[in-house]
Amino acid sequence: MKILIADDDLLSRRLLEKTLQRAGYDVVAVEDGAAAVVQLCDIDGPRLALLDWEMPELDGPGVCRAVRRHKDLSYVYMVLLTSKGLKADVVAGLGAGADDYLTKPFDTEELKARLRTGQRILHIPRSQSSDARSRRAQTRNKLPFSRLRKPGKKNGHV
Amino acid sequence: MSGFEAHIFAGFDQTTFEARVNVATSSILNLEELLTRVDDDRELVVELFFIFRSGCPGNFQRLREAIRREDGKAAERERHTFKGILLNLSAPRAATAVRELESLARKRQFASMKIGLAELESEVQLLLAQIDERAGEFRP
Repeated sequence: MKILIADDDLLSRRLLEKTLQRAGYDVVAVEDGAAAVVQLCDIDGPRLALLDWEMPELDGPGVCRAVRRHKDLSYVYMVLLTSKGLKADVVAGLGAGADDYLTKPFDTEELKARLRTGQRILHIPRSQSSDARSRRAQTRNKLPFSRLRKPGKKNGHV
Repeated sequence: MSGFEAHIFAGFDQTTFEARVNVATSSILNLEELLTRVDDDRELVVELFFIFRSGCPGNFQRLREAIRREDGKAAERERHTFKGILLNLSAPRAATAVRELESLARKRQFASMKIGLAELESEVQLLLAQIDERAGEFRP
């Protein structure tokens, strides 16, 4: 799976790049927020992103807000990775549209587990939720007429 | 509090005190933690050391300049970047020195920040010396 790393610091970027490549991801790395938005708004761009908070051009929360404004995009799962660890920062990050939040220094196993969670969520709309919709429709068609009464109506009169 | 106690504790700052205790008691480079983070990829450790050594003068230059200009926003950005680098590198003492600098910046104590910056520079010098010492162990 393709993943975007946006971090202006070379050391952090390289560390993440190697860690995620080792975990089997196809890594796209950029060094500022504006380049991250371009990648994430591309129709074939990564749907999973790890964003640093402080970046030139546009910061991590700014990237989240910009991506969330594009309603026509398929969902992008964004994780903010930062050394800002205050509760207020977490609230601000999630409020900007991030799905998750991790503090530096990251724990490799925790990072991989959280990204797997992201992947599971990204797969919901395409597979499970459409299946669930068709299952609900099939069930509705099989129901006896009397059970389709609207809530609150008495004696089964529809 | 007696007059003597008041004299002793005048100007005492709990956060600064705790930060200094942390600096004194933590290690310069936690190589074990770093190796765990990189899945024991020793080649990558050497590369990260190289990146750190090459980027360090630039990091300091930008931080020093931001403090000299008393540009709070730029100083915060530089400190944040530097702290992230030091935490990723598992350098707790230098990272604590950056945190101390952060606490001074929050109080907008630019004069004290210059002293904090000098302390950070000396911590980073110790870190660089240790990096040079340990990097030799990893080279083929």
